[in-house]
Amino acid sequence: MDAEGLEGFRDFVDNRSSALLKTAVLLSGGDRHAGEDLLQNALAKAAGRWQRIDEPEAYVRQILYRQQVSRWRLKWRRRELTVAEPPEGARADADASSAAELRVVMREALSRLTARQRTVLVLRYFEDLPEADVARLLGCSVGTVRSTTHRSLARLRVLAPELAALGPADAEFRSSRDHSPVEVRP
Amino acid sequence: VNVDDLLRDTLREQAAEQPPAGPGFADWVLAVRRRRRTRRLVTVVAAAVAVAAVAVGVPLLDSGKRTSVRRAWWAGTGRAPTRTSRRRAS
Repeated sequence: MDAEGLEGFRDFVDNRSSALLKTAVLLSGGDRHAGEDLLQNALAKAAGRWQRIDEPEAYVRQILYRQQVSRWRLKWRRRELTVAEPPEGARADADASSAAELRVVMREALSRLTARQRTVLVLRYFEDLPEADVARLLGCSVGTVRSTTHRSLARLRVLAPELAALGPADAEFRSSRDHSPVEVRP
Repeated sequence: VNVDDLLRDTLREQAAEQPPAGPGFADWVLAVRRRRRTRRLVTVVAAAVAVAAVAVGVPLLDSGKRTSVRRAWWAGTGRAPTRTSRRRAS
């Protein structure tokens, strides 16, 4: 990288690293250090071909997402966060009636999803991307994105039974309508 | 409130709580990249040296072995072996 490229890279990191770090931390389940590690790897990879990148932010974001769900990384990192107490017991004594407490419950449940499940939810609900864009970014089919979203939301309900009292998510509602049983006449 | 809204709110709240990245983040990333490149280069050189050492060393070790040479039955007799005598010898 020449001096001009180096300067451009520094400017980009100074301006955009805080926003990128937020996404990276969410992808890592709220673990700040894991998020920094993820972003650092993505930026180091992007720095290698900085002068050939047209849209640096889109490129770095794609590396972030793909790296988070890559098989190699999943092999090295534990797929789920393990805790000493079962999730039901952890929140049994808490009154989860208020929205703030529900968000705490949701946050804990999110940190216990697999990296792939969490990535899909972050892309759909934080980045507000349509299913087709998520599929393109992660290099999978739209059907995979849809089924992963559905399974992740179901898993959240298992991990946090307090969420069961809430109404169904739109994605789940659409999915259940798509798979509704069809009456078969002889 | 449904799960969609709660999930969206939770993620936004969690993101908003994150303090910004440190001022020297770019230099830190570049230093890490430099270190990794150096490590990769050292690994490649070490692997190449190991391969070269094996490629040169194995034939050298092999050439040091003594092979058993048997004296031909007709050596010293002053005559070359004929087809008949060779068949008899075998």
